[in-house]
Amino acid sequence: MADLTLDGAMLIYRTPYHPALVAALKAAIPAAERRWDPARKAWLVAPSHGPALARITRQYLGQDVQVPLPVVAATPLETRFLDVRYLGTTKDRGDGGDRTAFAWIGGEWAAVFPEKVLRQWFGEEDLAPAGQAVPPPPQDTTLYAVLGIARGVDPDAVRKAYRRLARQWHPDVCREPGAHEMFIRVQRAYEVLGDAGKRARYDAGLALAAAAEDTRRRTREFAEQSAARWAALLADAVNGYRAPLRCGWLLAEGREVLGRFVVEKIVAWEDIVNEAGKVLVASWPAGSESPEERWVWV
Amino acid sequence: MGVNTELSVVRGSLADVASQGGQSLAEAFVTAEAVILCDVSGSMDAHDSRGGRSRYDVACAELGALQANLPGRLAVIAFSDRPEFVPGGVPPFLSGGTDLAAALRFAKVADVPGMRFIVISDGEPDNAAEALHVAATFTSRIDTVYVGPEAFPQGREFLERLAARHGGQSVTADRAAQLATQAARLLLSA
Repeated sequence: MADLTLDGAMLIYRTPYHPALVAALKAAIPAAERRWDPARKAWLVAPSHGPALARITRQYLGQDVQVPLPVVAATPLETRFLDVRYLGTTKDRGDGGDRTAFAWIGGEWAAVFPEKVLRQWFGEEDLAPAGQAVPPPPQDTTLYAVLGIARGVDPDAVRKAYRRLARQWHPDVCREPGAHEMFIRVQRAYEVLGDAGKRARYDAGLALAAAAEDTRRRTREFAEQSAARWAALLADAVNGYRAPLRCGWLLAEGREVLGRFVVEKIVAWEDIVNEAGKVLVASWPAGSESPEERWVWV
Repeated sequence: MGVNTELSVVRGSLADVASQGGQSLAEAFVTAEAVILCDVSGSMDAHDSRGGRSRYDVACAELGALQANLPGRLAVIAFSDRPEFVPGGVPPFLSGGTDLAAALRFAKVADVPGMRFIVISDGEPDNAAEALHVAATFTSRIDTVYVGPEAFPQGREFLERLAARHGGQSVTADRAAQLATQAARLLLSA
């Protein structure tokens, strides 16, 4: 028998185990608005999805459940400090919503980052030249975004970001799949951005490329596309977006949903530093139950 | 009016080099040495080049040869009433006027140390004074290649004045047929 009750601002949904029902539930309700609670052996679901749960229950269990009518107060927007020890790769949760990444905080997946929030923070900014209303290339990743820095940062910040990321993704330290490729990307980005002359040309190239993008949009020309480039974008589309940093002390705006903090905007992101001045880098080796932490000099 | 070049990418162009190297255009531009501003205004449609071809058609052919010989080293900007960055290396025929000042303002973003600029034109800008004024803001050298008729000394003289602003050279290509040779000569000169 299925059971649907209200507990505060969330629905508690218990059913006998039914794989097809679970699949339907995951497809119908966005990942940020549902959560499996192993302690209660129940799904915690945002109240707005009551009718969907009733429909799924009727479809798979042939049972009618009463949908409780909650007194719903809008969850307030708040700013929180987050001690993120590992940030996953964004995934399509199969619910029709935006791709999201979960963040490991205090030993559990306690925060949710929509991909657009991460991309915005890690330099997927407007690439238009000053004074021109040219939209940025779609899904493009600049060398600045590879290093997770803004375009106007000074050379010291570029160097620091490079050293930080080289430590993060060095194959000897990071045991995640693709770490070597990420390390190479970081190296390539620094080869350009770490050299004042090359960086000036790259910035000029970005401005021209943004203008060319506008032209392409008008002529449907995709002159710069290459097999490797589009393969990379395709892989990104399939595999999700991987933020250059895996951990950090964050200040973020968001809302509490079912006990998780759903981030709407990252306000600040600082390295986690220990008493000795070493910086934390994290990776999640395949098969591990928790992230692997290492303290390194940057 | 020439071939439809909207989808063309010539060998050695920035788009071609970026594609071959799995790079973005901006990354390919890091190794560029010169920006070529190619006049594609209405007057470039004059069929007074070799074999009765238009200045524009010959200019495209010569630009293609130049990029093939100097792969990844040239960025092409076409201009008439408006400028247009052409990563594929084949300037579209835009017709219309010759707003060289707007083209130079557009190209100014690439005025970084060590960059060279080459203006290929028949030397009839809509506003010569404004073009010279914008050119004066450049820190990099601007060379010019005149591709107009021999019986139009004003055009050649204007381009000579433009080049002189920053110690550049001005050369004449025989109705665009010698464009690649002359542009290469400019690039190789100190």
